Amino acid sequence: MNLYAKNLKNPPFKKRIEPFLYLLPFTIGVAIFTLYPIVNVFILSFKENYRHLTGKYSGFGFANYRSILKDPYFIQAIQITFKYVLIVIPFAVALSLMIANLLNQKTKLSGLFQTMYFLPLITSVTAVGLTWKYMFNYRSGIINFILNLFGLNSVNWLQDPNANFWALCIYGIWSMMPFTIILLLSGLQNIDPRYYTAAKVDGASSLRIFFRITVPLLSPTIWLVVIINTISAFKVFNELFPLFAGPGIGHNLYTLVYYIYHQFRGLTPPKYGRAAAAAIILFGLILIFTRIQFLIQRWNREIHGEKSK
Amino acid sequence: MNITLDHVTKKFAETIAVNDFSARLPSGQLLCLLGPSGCGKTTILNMLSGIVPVTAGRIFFDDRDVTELEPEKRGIGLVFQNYSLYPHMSVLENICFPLEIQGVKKSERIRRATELAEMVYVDNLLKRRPAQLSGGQQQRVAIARALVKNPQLLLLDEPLSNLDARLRIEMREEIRRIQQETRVTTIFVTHDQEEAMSISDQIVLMKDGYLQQIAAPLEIYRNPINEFTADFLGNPVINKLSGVVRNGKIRIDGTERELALPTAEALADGRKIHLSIRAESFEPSDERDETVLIGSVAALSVTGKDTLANIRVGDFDVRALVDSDAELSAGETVGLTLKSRGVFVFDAESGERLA
Ligand SMILES: Nc1ncnc2c1ncn2[C@@H]1O[C@H](COP(=O)(O)OP(=O)(O)OP(=O)(O)O)[C@@H](O)[C@H]1O
Ligand SMILES: [Mg+2]
Repeated sequence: MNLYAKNLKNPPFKKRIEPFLYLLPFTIGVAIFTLYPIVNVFILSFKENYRHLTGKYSGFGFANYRSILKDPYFIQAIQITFKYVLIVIPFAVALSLMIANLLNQKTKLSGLFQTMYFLPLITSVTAVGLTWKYMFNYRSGIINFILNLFGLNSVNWLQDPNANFWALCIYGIWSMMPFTIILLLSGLQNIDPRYYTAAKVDGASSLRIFFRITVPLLSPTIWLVVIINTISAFKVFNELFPLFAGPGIGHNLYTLVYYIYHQFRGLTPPKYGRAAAAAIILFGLILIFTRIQFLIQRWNREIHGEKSK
Repeated sequence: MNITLDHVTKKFAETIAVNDFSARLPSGQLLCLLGPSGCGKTTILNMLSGIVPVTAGRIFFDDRDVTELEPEKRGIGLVFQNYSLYPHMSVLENICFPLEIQGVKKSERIRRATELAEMVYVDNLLKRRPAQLSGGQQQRVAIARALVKNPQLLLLDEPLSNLDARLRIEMREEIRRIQQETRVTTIFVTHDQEEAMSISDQIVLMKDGYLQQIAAPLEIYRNPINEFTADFLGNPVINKLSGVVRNGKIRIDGTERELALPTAEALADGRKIHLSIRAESFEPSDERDETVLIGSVAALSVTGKDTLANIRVGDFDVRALVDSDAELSAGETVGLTLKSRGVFVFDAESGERLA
């Protein structure tokens, strides 16, 4: 017994390194394709006067950071990105929650609904983007057609600098929803139906059940989708191409990732250092933002008295 | 509140969970719905609460037909097998929730909830979450939550099955006490016959969706309506000896002699029967006439005042609880007379009670 306990505490060297050997292949992959680029970008952001072709630089310092923080385009990019995140996340999550809740109710049409909402996930991004482009079309798009039905004026969604941001948001919300719905739905299906039965026997309306039972019990999943979607919304970039083929009218949809992209793709000579510095700032913003959400989540859980492990 | 089930039937896709169930359950009593797993107890409870609609038949609360009434309008308190306390609410909020739904004022809610919490002894735990309570405490909170809206009927679905043996006994006494204090008509589901025997005013015994018998525990024990009822109740399990009727007497399989049983005299010759005898219905005897069963003692275990004897009678091992003063010894041949109570004759095939 004693011997055994001692062995557990002090296993032979071979036994001790064994688990690390199993981890090695994966670790090497992550190191080469994830860790190395991250570290490299970090270092690059501090290299001053970096020359891409020769690899020469004058020294380490904050020159890249100073220069982008003075760049009005960068400041604008941050503003646009924040505005986008703050608008898209609440709408995407709230709408997804409503739809997931509907899908979770076993109605006759739920099969149809499930297909409808998961379709975007399996269709090609380009095809979907083009479809939206047609739907947003000023003259023949279905969105304006519907607006007209309600007696509202047509909106030039894609060309009007006051409207194109909203088109981007609508498209962003829409493309965020399928995955969000899937996560929320799986969370909903984990809620023991007895809670609903218990509440129903007590005569709770479905609205009360939703807000007093479903939402609180689902809150871990809700926070998860908020965080995941926030990270992806901060990186809004791909969405710009199918709809606007670029950063909007007069750069009014110039987002952070587009700024990074532009620094080394749109400029000659490319400004790798500034791109790297912007990427690090984006990384920092995402980190702070998700950290805040994480703290809110934990605080939320604490007032609900669950043991935090 | 009197509850009447009138030819109630519940069919699920394939199975008939409850079959033509008719019963009148008297008001103010603690009733145990007893039966083996899968016999339809939960289904009956769910039909009473309105969670599950009936396939056929009517349900009445007093004179009111509630068959089509929504659950919330039936005035029912329900305690689930796993309690189903809302994990994100404190004990107090859990107990208050039914009142919150009814729109009761907050101060009144808290007053009522605290009152009930006191009755079930959880008033010192009001701020805790369900996850921070023991099984027995959760149980009490669930009962308080079910009682807080003054239900006319309290339904408990195997409320003790998650508890350990000691707590089960403690909690069943507790449920008895609470029921007697509140006098609310209570239906308590269990598949444990001992639990049912020890706390209920009436036992409603079911099997395969059919009602078997409704009677007070002692009555159902002394006077089972059929073989299943006799088998299901009692510990140790009733002894079952199969045999044939010969000239108004019983020839037990594997024996060479007839047993004279006054109650069996009228039975038709050649009928196959089961003779069921409770363990405590034997009495050692020196007689060797026709009224005496003869067997050989296989094993003995003394429990104190009584001795549990394993006795071989014909093809059967009989367990007899006899007075320790009888001083039996293993290997010895004994005669056993049968007491008038606890001896039944059933038809071997149908299980129908013959005597
Ligand atoms: N929703 C359902 N769909 C189909 N069959 C069901 C359903 N609910 C119950 N049954 C069937 O009806 C029968 C009775 O079930 P019920 O749950 O009432 O049994 P029970 O007496 O409560 O059993 P236990 O003691 O195991 O809880 C079972 O054969 C069961 O399989
Ligand atoms: Mg059950």
